[in-house]
Amino acid sequence: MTELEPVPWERVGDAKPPERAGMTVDLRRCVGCHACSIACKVEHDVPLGDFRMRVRYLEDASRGTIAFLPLLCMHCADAPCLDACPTSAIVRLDDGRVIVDEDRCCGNKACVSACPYGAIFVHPDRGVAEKCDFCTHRTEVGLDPACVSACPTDALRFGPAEGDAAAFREDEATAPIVRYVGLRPGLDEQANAGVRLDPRDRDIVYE
Amino acid sequence: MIGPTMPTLPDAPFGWPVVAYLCLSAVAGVSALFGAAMGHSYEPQAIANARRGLWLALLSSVAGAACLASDLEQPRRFWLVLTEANPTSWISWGARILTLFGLLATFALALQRGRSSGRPGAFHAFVLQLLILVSVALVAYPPFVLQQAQGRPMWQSAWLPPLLVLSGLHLGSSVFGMFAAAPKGRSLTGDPRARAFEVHLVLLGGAALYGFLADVAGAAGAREFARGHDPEVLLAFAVLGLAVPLLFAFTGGGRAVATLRGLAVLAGAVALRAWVVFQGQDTSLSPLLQSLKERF
Repeated sequence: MTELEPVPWERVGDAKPPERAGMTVDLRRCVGCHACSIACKVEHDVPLGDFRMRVRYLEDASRGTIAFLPLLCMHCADAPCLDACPTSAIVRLDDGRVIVDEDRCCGNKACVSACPYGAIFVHPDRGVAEKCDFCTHRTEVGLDPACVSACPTDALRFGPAEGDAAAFREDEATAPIVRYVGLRPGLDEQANAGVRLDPRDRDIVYE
Repeated sequence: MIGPTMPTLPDAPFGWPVVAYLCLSAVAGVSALFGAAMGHSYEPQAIANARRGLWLALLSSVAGAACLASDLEQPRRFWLVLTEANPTSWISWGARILTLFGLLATFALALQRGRSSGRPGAFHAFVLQLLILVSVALVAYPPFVLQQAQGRPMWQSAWLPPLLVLSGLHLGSSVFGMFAAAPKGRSLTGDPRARAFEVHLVLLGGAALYGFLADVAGAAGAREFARGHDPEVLLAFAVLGLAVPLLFAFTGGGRAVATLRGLAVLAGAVALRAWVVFQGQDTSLSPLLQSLKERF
């Protein structure tokens, strides 16, 4: 008889969340499958048309190139949304993550305008701000966020960012703790180095 | 090319209630400014105008608060902004200013009731002076709320606060001018009802001077801060804030023309604020989108 796979919370064991939150997005590994977006939507019941996490496609039809860019709340150390919120509903936890306290949110949308990354939206039914919280309910019991668990290529890694990872916008002074690997000008050619999508090319190269 | 299928940014969060509030707060602040200043006078004509100004201020501030409350979808949330105020947020300061303004305007109006001549008492004068300070704050703070939105580069323009404040003074004084009783004597333009409008002309001159000086100075820092959107801000202000009101600036006298001029200023100021709010939220101006294009 086949042994049943244990449910995730049984598999956690003694695992503890990292002391410092953060995420590293390895663009060399992302294949643009949207698994992270879908897992996030399912996990948080995100309404149609809104996203806590989304994957941008950067396409150039003339060159037949494509690159993928997962975008989420950057949990900035100097978060503009936190300063703009009139009711202090956006708070930073000890581990560095920035979350929305929905009970205190007045729905005035100042945070939506304040965020340079477009990472916050207002729930159309409840009228409160929503954003990525690194799946607090999962990470506090030692699980990875839903997007990280769902990523088939390990392009997303939860925990303090690695040394060579860079901020998405180098000119941005908000000090994000979500960092990117493989981010550079000419992203479509240099990122996703392991996958080349050219319908005319029979030799699709995998690294 | 940026991928066509998924939205890059959430929908623009601020709509017409915010535009209406920006207009109403300017009307309330400037009307109270005139009303409180005239309240110090002993002339019956000025006292009557002070009462009208305070009424206009009170009604405008209540209507403005209603617009904000409707934007929050649940009016009780306005109370949350007051009780759970975050000191780093300009919106929380704005809510306190608006509430204090409403209370002071009501109080000043109650003190003004039944008064037809004579100078106000010491306490009454103190309330009026306090109201003047809060009125200035009410007119001046909204542009700083917009500037706190770092995701909207156009609102970061250093031009926006002075231009919106000047436009607010135009707007408020023109609306007050329409409601005020005719002052005695003749104005510079020959229209006894045009005195309030002459204030607009002085302010328009101030705006032009500000633009000239800033242009001469180069305003390099401001331009860099605004990330290239200064010309749009200035053009909109020139057309909507200056040209539309000036079309009716020298069109003779009479109550009808004075009202027409006031409405022209009103239309220009509303259009300017609508442009600032909606154009400022255009997602094609997003720094995120610009960065994506640079990356590509």
